[in-house]
Amino acid sequence: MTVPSKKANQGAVRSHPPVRLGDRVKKGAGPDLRSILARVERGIEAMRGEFDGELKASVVKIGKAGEAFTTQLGAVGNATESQLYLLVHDLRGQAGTFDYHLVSTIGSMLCSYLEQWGKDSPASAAKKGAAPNPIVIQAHIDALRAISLGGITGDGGDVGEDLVRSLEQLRAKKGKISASRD
Amino acid sequence: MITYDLSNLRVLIVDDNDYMRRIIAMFLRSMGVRKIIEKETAGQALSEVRRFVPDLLITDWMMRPVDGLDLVRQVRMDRDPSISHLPIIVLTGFTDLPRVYQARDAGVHEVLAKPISATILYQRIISLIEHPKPFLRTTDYFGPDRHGGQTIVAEKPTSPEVDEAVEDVIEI
Repeated sequence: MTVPSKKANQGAVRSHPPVRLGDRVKKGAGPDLRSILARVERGIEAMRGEFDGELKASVVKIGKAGEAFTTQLGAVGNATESQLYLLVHDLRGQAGTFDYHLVSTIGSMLCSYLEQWGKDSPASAAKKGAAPNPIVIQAHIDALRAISLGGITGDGGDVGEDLVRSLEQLRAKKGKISASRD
Repeated sequence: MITYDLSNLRVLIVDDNDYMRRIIAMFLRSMGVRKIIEKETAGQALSEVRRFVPDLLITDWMMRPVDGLDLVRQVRMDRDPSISHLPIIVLTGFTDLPRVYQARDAGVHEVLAKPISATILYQRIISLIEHPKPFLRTTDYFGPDRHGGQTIVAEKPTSPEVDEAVEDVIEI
């Protein structure tokens, strides 16, 4: 990571793009933001039904990837390169667009949990005395399944709050398992 | 409020997730963009960049086997200045401070956090139109001037540190 510094640019050669974006655009024409957002809303509505199916299918895939991840905990590579991580990462990025904010929240929680082992493989983390806990991973996946089956949109209200709180408590208690318990 | 006719813009979208590509394409079409090409991998995108020569590249960060930042680096190394100077927006689920700097140092113009908001995407495109930035080449960097105003905006910074970093980048 480079921290921005004016000194870093001393002696820099400056150039300009041969074609500017503005050259392709006519000002004072085209839709205003309100009509753009109205079109986007219609587009999202048209895709929403399809996304409900996509969410269910993704949760099934995540369930299988979770099983593979936790049963091969000592053998899988870098956690953030696992199929489980990639599927959850994709889903959380899409879900918010379709008002499944609780899916995004819990997906982000699972991603950040797996990111703790992003540089160490679970196997090497286990050697150091800690590894991801399959119970915690499964609890996040179960929560995603419940949201999908229940069609819970938005932040899920009280149910969503309870789900998030219980996952946080579980992580605090059982976030890591030591190598001796494997 | 000024309106913009974006119908002549040529935009290349790169994401290995078909659904995400369709969402972004739908956002762009809603803004009036008509010339949109979608590609699934960085490798396909690199060939398409040379053939299609887009005005704007929007790419996901996390892709396999080559990720979005490697694509950005390869575009910035191209000998054709109309390619190496392309405006690039990176989409990501990561908004932690080291990753924001990592994207900036690869030569991206903008980083947008997922889930992507159509309003933020539109605002960023208009910002690229209204505030084109000169490019700088140093011994270890080629890309938009990171010190010439607003460089990177994470839509949803996840921590005060990221907020401060974004302000820092903007102020320098």
